[in-house]
Amino acid sequence: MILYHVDSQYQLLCAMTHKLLQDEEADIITHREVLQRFEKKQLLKIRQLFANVIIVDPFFRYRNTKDVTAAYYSQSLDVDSYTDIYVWGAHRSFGYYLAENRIPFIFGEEGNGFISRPYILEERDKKIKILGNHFDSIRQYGLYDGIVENAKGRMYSFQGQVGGFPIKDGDVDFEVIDALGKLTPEMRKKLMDIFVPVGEIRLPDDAIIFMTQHLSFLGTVSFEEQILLTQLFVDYFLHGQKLVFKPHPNDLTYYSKLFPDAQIIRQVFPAEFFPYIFNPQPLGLASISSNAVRILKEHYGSVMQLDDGYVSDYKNLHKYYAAVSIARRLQLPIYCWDGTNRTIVRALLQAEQEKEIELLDEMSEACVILVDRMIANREESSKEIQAMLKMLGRIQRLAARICVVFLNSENDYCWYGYGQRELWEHMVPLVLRKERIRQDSSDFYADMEQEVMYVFSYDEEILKMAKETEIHKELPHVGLSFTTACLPQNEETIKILEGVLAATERRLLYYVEKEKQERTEMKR
Amino acid sequence: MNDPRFVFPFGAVKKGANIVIYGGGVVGKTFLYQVATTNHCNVVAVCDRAPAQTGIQEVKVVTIPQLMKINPAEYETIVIANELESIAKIIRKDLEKAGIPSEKIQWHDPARRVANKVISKAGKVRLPYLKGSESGIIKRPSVVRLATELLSYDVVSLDIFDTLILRPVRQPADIFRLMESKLSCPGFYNIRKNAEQKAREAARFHYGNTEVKLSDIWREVERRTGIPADRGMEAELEYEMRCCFANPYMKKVFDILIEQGKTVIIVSDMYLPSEAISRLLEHVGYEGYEKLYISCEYHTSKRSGGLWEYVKRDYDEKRIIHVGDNTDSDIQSAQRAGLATKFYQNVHDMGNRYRTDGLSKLIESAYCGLVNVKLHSDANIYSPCYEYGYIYGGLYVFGFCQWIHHRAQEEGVEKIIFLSDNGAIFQKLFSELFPERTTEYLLWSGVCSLKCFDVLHNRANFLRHVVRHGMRIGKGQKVADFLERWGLGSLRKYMRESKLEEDAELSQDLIKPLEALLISHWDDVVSAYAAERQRLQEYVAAKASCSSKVAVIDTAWLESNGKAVKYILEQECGVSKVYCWQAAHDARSWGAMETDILDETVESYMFAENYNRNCFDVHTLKHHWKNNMYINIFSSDNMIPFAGEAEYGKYIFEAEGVQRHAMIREIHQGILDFCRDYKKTFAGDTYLYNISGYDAYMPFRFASRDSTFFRNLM
Repeated sequence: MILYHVDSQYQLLCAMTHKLLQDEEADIITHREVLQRFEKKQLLKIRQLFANVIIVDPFFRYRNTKDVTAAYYSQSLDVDSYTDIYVWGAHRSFGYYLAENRIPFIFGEEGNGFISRPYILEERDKKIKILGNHFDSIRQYGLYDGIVENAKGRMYSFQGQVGGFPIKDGDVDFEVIDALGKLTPEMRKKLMDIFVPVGEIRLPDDAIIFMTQHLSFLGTVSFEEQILLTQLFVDYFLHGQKLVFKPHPNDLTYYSKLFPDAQIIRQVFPAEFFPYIFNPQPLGLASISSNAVRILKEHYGSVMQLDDGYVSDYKNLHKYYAAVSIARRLQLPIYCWDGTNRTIVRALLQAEQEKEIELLDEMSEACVILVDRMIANREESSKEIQAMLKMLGRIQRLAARICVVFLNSENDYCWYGYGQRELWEHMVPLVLRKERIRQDSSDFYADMEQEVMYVFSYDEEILKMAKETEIHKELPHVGLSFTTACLPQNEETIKILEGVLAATERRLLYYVEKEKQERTEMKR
Repeated sequence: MNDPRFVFPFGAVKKGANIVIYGGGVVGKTFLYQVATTNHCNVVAVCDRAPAQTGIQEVKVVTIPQLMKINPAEYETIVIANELESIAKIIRKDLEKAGIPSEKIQWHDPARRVANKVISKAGKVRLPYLKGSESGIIKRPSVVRLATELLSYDVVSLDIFDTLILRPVRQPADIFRLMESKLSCPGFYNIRKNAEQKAREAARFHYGNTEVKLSDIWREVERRTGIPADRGMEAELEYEMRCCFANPYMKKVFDILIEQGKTVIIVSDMYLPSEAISRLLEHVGYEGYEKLYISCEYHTSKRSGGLWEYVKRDYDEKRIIHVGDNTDSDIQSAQRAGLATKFYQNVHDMGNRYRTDGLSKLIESAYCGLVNVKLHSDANIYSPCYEYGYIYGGLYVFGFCQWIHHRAQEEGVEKIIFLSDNGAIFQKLFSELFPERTTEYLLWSGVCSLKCFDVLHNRANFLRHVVRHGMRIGKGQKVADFLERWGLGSLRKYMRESKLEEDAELSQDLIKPLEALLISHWDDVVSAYAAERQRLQEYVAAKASCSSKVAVIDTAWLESNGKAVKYILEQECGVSKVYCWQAAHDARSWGAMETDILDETVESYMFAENYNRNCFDVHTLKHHWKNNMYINIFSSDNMIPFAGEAEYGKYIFEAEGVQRHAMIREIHQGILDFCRDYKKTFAGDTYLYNISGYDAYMPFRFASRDSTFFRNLM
């Protein structure tokens, strides 16, 4: 007989799938909140699958002594009677109890990919007052990362972990979506009746499902920012697609108002059922950085996914788009300097179905180098960029066709150092002028200020071509369009001089700030 | 109650006298308190239209008919306790009509004043918010947090006015001020307010509650004004429709609730019929709620608790939460009825304490209303610089642009030239407001004026700027380099005779010899700039391009750039008429004269020595001239100062120094946002665009009441 412990609905799905595959009698131990969402009919089906469903307090040990806890669990179950104990959510009371009593169990990961990212859980638990001093013990026992002494093995998705995560002896690859595929249709139906009460969901042909995240709920961005970054995502990467939104349960954004042509799926069910509930199957998936898309991408032909960097860079999309347009005009491949969002560039090329422009891993002597901002050590970062520009000066004689586009999103003028005014002589400003194209919307959150980026090249022809590149982009959901146009000589001179002044000021303020910090440290 | 804003007229009422106080409101109660605590006199009674509502228990509260039953010998005088003279006059008439002799009635402005400034409720001279961002005072939960909380209830009840819907005026009744011109009815504001009061009293008499309908109010207004009630009601609804807009914060919460399928009801104490309210809600974008409860249709209110009984009856056994801004009717009353509540702090209650006064009533209401809504309606916190632009700079920039347009129309001006670099923000806004007008942005600066104008017509100013001011800036520089920098290299050959060494470093001691050198070779100085002067004249002429009437806009307060460009255009380029319009004028600057204003060489918008003198004095005397610097931040630009044209098409810029780009950008954003909001909000009442120079200066004047404000900002 097997015992399962689960702390969430996702883990319940893992346990039930595992149970159906094992086909062995089993008990399950969980807490009330996990079952709360289910209707009576569904609960009955859960109870039918297990011999016993044992409800416990997930924080019992954190409120009671070791002995009282032992007595508490012994009332409901006999741990010695089970051949195997599978524990998902090991950082809760039951896992803690097993760890401190050295009772062997198999460790299941909290969610897909979590075993290599224990810090996410730790951050969350840090805020739970009830854990108190136990928080450090939970970590020491290895109940977040599965390195717990009495673990017989660990069950997790090998593919879901961050690169370089070491696989140990006894580790088992467990991917729910694959496990569901191994079930018979009848078994799968049983699970779907429990987890997807809506049954089949109709979709338009060739739909793209946008899986949203609860960024504003978590406080990562404001509500307005979440709207804007979604509008931009759709306008830049999913333009013209038949959209279906699948909001995260905690994402409160009103998608039906923002995207009246899109279908919204508000029903809550695990993403692992995607391949089985849609009719017809969607053409592809899209998401900013949803973990579920990573799990499902094997099953869909088209996937548009960025990463967490999009959340900090989405406001600079116009500049990225303009830079890619310049590369297209120059017919040169793109190389992204450190600090530049390569994922966005790749996604723009993918969205535009641009096959001729290559995204390089290494700089070549004919390419467009995108440079955005300084990273980490400001001075080092700036020096590296200046060294690169010097090197370009040396190789220009070799008929190299190189152009550097400074996006300058942070206005840090990362290429500029004192006494390097001559750089500006090989630079042209590119001004993005915006216009509001939808006056009626109450959900307009875009910044209307013009944006300036700088194109640098020792090749006059390249500079001329870059300058004359006409870029126009309509963003219907955001409600604006932007255009770049060739500036008259006077305006160009002024823009460059403004740049020189702003860059000098920025550098000066940096040194003033640095000196202040150093003085403070010396005083200490 | 002792409201520190008001003070009893101790000087006018004899000590130990027996008196009657008319008015049981805040002023009346304050008088009562002050008289009682000082034992100054003896209050026989308080007279009020609605004695029960005053809540006064210390003395007898009577109506006018009841007062008439008191023996007149029992009191010597009746003191009217009301803030407004206009209302006091009405009261006086009522009392006289009832038979009380005029000499027995007195009214004195009850406002407590300190150095002629009206003091705030907190008992202090009202000041701007001095601790950073005013918008950060109310810590509203984020839209998502509030929505998440509301979603946990079965039914969400929402208040309408000042919660779901906002009005861009300081007080709700100020809408009636706006209606005065529409109805061509002077005094409509007071008539409408009094009619409502009267209708409520009648309702109390007949039905035992104060719930009235708009038609009840208008019956009384019609009686007093002759304006047909139907026409009046239509106008009032039209105004509500025009002025009301959805609270952006609550609108998002509402849309989330609807998207999530939550049951939303709307409950309001209001005299407008539900049909009008639902039209209003639909007009501003609220759709999808389940039911509307309006007090006047149920003959009971939230405040009395009766309306909640209907809500509870309809949603029996459901968990209901109500959101509203009124502590009595939305919070305490709802709680008494067993509902959960969420307080939405009233934006005007919050903002009014930091708003300026002293503007003309309508502009003040519109300005304060707009700023309050912007800063306090949602969870956004703006930077102090942005707020400086929005609160204190917006009205000035907007008003000046409107004034320029108005003047240009009057004079038939064909082209408007804005001078750099302070003119940039004005041109940007002006072009947005009046895209049909031809404008130009002329690169110009004091240096250009020195080279083109002062060198010919104002030698003293030239010497002052070039030598005295230039000496301070270029301290340590070699004399020869200094001359080269100013394009006066040709004078180096005379240095020996003036006993000046080429390698000598600039210092205070060299001011006089250097001035002497320039003065003794003035022809050389003039001719040194001849070529550049010619090029600049051509440049200026090209900007004016064949226009016969041009206006030059100069916003740099202490310079004579406008005058210089006017001179070039009129004298050298043949433009028949050039108007020079300035934001303000100060004849004490070296480049200006008092006669400039008198002979209309320049015109000033906000003030000059002979115009809005009070503002002129405050501005120039306070903060040791720093006011100029503080107000100039509004229009300072990130543009690099233009210094001239070395060769054709080759401009010279003084691209040095730190200009606080980020700070200026935020201030300008604040200014532009205010102007855009103001224009959009009052598009139906464009007379509100006519902001007098006096009104335009008031917000800055308020900000300058305490220099801490500026120190914090910098």
